[in-house]
Amino acid sequence: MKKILILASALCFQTAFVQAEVVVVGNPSLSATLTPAEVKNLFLGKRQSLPDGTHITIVERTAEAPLKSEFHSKYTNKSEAQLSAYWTRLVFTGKGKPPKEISNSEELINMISSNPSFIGYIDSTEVTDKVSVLSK
Amino acid sequence: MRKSFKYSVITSFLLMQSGFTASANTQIDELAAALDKVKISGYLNLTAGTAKKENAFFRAYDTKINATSETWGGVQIDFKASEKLDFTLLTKFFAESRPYDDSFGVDLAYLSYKLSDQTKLRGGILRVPLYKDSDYKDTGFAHLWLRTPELIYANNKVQRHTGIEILHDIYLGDGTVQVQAFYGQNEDPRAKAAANNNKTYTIDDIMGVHATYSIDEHLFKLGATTRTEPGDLSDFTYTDSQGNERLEEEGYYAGDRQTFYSLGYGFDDGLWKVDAEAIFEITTGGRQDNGKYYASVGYRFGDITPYVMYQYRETLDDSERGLNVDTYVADDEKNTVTRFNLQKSFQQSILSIGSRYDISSNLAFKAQVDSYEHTSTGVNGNTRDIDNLLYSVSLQAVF
Repeated sequence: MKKILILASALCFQTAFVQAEVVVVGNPSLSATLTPAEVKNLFLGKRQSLPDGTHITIVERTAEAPLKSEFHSKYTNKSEAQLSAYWTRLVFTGKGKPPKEISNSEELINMISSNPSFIGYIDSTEVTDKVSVLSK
Repeated sequence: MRKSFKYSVITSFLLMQSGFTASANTQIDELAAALDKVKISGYLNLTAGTAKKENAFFRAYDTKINATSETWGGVQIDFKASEKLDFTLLTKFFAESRPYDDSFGVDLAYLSYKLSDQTKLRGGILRVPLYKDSDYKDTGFAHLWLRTPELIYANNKVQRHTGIEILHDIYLGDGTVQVQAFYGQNEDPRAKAAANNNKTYTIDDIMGVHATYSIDEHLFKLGATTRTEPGDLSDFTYTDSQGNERLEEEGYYAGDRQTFYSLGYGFDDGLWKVDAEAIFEITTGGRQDNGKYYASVGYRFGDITPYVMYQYRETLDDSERGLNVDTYVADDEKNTVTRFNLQKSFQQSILSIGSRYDISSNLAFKAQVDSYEHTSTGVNGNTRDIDNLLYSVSLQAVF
């Protein structure tokens, strides 16, 4: 009985861990696997295409989405205020435009599934066959 | 402009129409699509400061509290005309009237045409990217500091040019080199204000090439910008009350070519923020060549980021000026030769300690103390020393 409890606890902990994992997703027509540096470049507006030249439009999450801070902690090391300062610089120099922001994963998945150039990020547990995982 | 806000505005507007019908949904969608082409952004700096001593130094701060000198804002409208063509208009406003080109009104207005994901052409009234942070120096929220390094960034007479530029990204591994090349002209209102006639003075050859290499947390910038100062020496002479012929300060530039070389570095890993820059302003003729340098480091403790910065500015060609050196020689109306002398040398430094507190993702409070020292030497060997302390606070926002 004790072993079962320990095993169950471990599985619950693992499940909780898996739920917290943020993954970068794109249209199923995209077959690329992105490195963390490539993800960072795309989401900071330094690149607008995949390494193979495919044009990409990134979709951000709104500041209220808890996944946003997790994503940026993992890939860009920037807080919400730092991101705001970063995009302010690009906007007022005309060298970049902040990405479109979406509040929920369902809307994001629908956008990505209907547009091959969009990429965004969701929780790994929300991945469906409408999107492909590009980085995790 | 947030989409929900746009929908609210449009819906409210349509509901007020007496003939509101189900077809309004279509109108809402059409109007929303049109508004999606327009983006409005803005920034505001509310800054107050006071100095320890009466001898005013930068931005004319003295022992009185001054809340107007560095209070300003800007509103930018970006209109997406097509997939490749954008129009940008940036207007600025100031709490205090300003002379010359830093005045209320249109700051920038330009068209951008995207040739590819890596290449963009721009034309119109554009910013001169003189140094690492020049093209967004007034946007306080974007910077760690309360203000950009004063000895380096302030008092640059050419903030913008009317011309063209190309931006081209070169991908090198995980890094990107952005090359920015530009050519244009700009009216010189300072020269016009100092001249002894009513001519319009135009700097007609502002040009430069800058390259910015960014990889991971690092940024390196190398740039060169050059321009020829308008007018002739005779445009800026006047006779003082003792009958001596004098030269307005602006006149010392007349006809000379100034070239600005900059080498900058930035590092930001989310915790540490490091910036450093070295600039050399080289001028033909007797006007002083300047070396300008700064280094700063900040460390983020959550929403609070304390920082320290040191700036230094010096003249580089002191041997070219002296009592017996004809720095400038001008022919007056009687064809006699008049000699003008410039200040031989100066050194200025500012040590700044400050902190930034991010109140929210678009509002920051900053406090900064600057310790300023200035030593200048005239051609006769007399020296003058000035020192002062400046205390400043600022609320800086973006939307």
